[in-house]
Amino acid sequence: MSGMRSRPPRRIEPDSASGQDAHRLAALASDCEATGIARRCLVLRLSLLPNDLRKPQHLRLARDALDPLLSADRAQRFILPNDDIVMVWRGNADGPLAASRNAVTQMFADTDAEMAEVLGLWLMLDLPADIAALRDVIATSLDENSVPPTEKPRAAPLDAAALAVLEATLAQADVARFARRRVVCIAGTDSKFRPAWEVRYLAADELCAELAGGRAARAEPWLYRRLARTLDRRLLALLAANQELKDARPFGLDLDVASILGPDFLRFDTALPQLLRGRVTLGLQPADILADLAAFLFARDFARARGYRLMLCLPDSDMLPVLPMAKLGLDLVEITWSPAALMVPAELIEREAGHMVLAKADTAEAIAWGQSHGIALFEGRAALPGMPTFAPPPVPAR
Amino acid sequence: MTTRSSLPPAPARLADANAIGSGGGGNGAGGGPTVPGERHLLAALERVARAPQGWSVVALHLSRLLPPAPRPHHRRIARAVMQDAAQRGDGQVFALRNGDVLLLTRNVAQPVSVVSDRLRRLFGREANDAGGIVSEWQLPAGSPELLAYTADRLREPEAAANKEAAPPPAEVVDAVAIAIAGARAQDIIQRQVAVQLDPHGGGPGAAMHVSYRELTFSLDVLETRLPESMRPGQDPVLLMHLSRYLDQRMLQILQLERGSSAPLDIGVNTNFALHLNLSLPGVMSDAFAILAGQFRAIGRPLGIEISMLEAVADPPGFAHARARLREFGARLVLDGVSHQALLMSRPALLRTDVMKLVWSPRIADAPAEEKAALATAVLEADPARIILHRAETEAAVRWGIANRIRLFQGRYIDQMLGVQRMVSCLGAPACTLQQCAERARATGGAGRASCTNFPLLDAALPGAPAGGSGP
Repeated sequence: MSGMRSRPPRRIEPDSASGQDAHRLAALASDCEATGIARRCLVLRLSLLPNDLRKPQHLRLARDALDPLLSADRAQRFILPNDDIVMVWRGNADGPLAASRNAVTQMFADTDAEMAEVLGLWLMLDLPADIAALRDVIATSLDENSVPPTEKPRAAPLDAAALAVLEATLAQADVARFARRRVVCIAGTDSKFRPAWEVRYLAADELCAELAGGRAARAEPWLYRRLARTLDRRLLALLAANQELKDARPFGLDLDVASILGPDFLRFDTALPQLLRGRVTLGLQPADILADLAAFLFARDFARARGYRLMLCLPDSDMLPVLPMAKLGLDLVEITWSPAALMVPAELIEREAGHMVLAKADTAEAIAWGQSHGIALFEGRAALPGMPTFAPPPVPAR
Repeated sequence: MTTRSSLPPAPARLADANAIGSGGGGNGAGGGPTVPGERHLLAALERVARAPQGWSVVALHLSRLLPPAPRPHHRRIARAVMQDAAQRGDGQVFALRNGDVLLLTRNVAQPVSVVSDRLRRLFGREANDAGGIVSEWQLPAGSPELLAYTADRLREPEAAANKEAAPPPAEVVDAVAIAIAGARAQDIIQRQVAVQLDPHGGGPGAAMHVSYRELTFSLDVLETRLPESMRPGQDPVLLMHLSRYLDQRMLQILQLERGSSAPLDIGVNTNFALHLNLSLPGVMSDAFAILAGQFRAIGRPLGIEISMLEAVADPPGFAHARARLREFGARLVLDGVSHQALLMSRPALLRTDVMKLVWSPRIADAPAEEKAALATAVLEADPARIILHRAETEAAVRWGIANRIRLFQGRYIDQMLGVQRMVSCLGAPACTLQQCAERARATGGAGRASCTNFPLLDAALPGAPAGGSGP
């Protein structure tokens, strides 16, 4: 590996634990989005590696492996809190890129890591087009690892009094800076993921951290649902604002039933460009549906008449038989990956797989499980645009 | 068009007559002096009367929807859909005082029947007769009928304002928690008996066994103690959150009342089960473990009712609660299953011991197809494991029996039990059936003070040994 270096490595001592690099990268992403200046971006997703391949020496080797890219025009390196390394540069750097890729491959040559896994670590993005994927990488790194879990102080819950104050604050606050996107990808025929739509949302946790004195947004689940409804209104207002959706790609929103029937949704619906009609997916929570079924049925029929696709977001795959998508008259169902999904009878998944999104698909295992059950839509760290899919294993004999 | 700024304005030459313009679903009451939508409509009709060919009017009779419809969102969406059609067809929308919404349009792009069909599809579910909620008049032929309809509306008193109430503020949680903590137990807790009708009986009035008695907080009573702006009933999410406080208070009260021999003493009437409503954290609390142990010690069956909302919102939490209740030998009841929920989901798969299906008069009025689907859903869920809740009328009990349901709870059952008590009560000549039923629901204080036969009032069912269908 050392023979490939074109010059002595420039040591960078990043302050990754505090997330400074992540915030610098987020600023660069925003700048890139605002100016439209094209940049290339490589994410080396070391966070996907098993622990025995994530020891300090591995991380050091991986950083060294990307050194060739520092020779590219205006190259910058960012070490994220979860050990992912991001390189950003301008213009063509095919030579250094090939050298880096070769070095990374060699790095794992003596390990048990499968080639597919190694390739899965390597994520190429073109900015600003893939900005949502980059933001997802940043958000994930901050979510999971900014503070080691053992040291995380237990935040006070967002109680009713704090929620009341927060709701009053939100009526005035500019929430645009909390707007986030995560990408739902579809497994392409070229064995790579490509974006299907991006989910737009307001980052409730960050918002509470900043506007509600660091309170834990989700500690009280029903108060969180109430907060979510307030955030729905703000998000809809944000999207309905002038020009916000002018060049938008297909997207999704998780909304409360009451939000779909509210005045903000009507304003948003009016602002929705004709090109996007039929390409917006609304995600609904089962508790919201059951809380007022008459309102749900009305909202469902209204939204469908206006060309929205409706998705049931199940918190647990156990709920698939309890809340069948077809009985509820919805178009899609999202289940969240967890090892418990392995216990769900295959036929339950396969029956709806053609209309199913597998969320939190953060590992190769999740992708392999989903694809082997016929799922094509994924959302998670292991399913970002450009990442390789996993060929389904042979169908087991029944 | 809930506000003028939300949608492009009506065509300029008609904009001055546009009756729409209020925020939040009011009836043309945008702040200034209100001119009835009927007057605007008449003025507009007068204007188009010079060349009426091609004009038509579509009326959406929101006033004909079944209560609780029309709700504010019905009005809002109705106006949006019609305003949309208006913009395509040089038209205008009018909101009448009775809630009906009318579209005057000269639509060349699409026939008005397209709009009518769209409205029937969207709103028809909320009416007994989907066809009857939309009227169409072609001008000039339909003018006399339309004018007569409009004149009738003007003669009617204005429908009660059905303004969209702002959701109660989050502080309401603290206000209610304080009210609960400060109120006397017997003022805020009610009880109700559920019965099992003898499977060999023929109908209402057949042999009954007491199945259990349920204790619930009376939110109505609590709400009367709070300012109107601080009533949680409008927000189901806040109510779910409040249930945590209700749990704590209920568990505390039952400890305080132990040994009192009063209606809230769990050691009284131990021959039938007691049911309590708990949230998932309530089931997992230490206070519940203590109470469940006490029920075991006295050999009284205990039932815990958990809302279906909680079960689907937190499946792992629900699974833990279910396991814990099994461990304590308590019966798990899935609470709050509406007939729509039974039609659109499979609550039986949540593996509770029984479920409470909430009766609605809409069941009796449902189209034959829906009734048949509901009958099938009841059979699939197993009628022996369904309690028909809020059985307020004979129609409810008849429907339940016809669908092989045997467990009933509700005011109609309260009346049946009241009749049986009064037949065997020496003090009955001084009371009405209504009073007897109300006193049976009360857990103390003034609510039952006038009764002279507490043993009979508390026994739930006079004469017969309690059947008790415990866990």
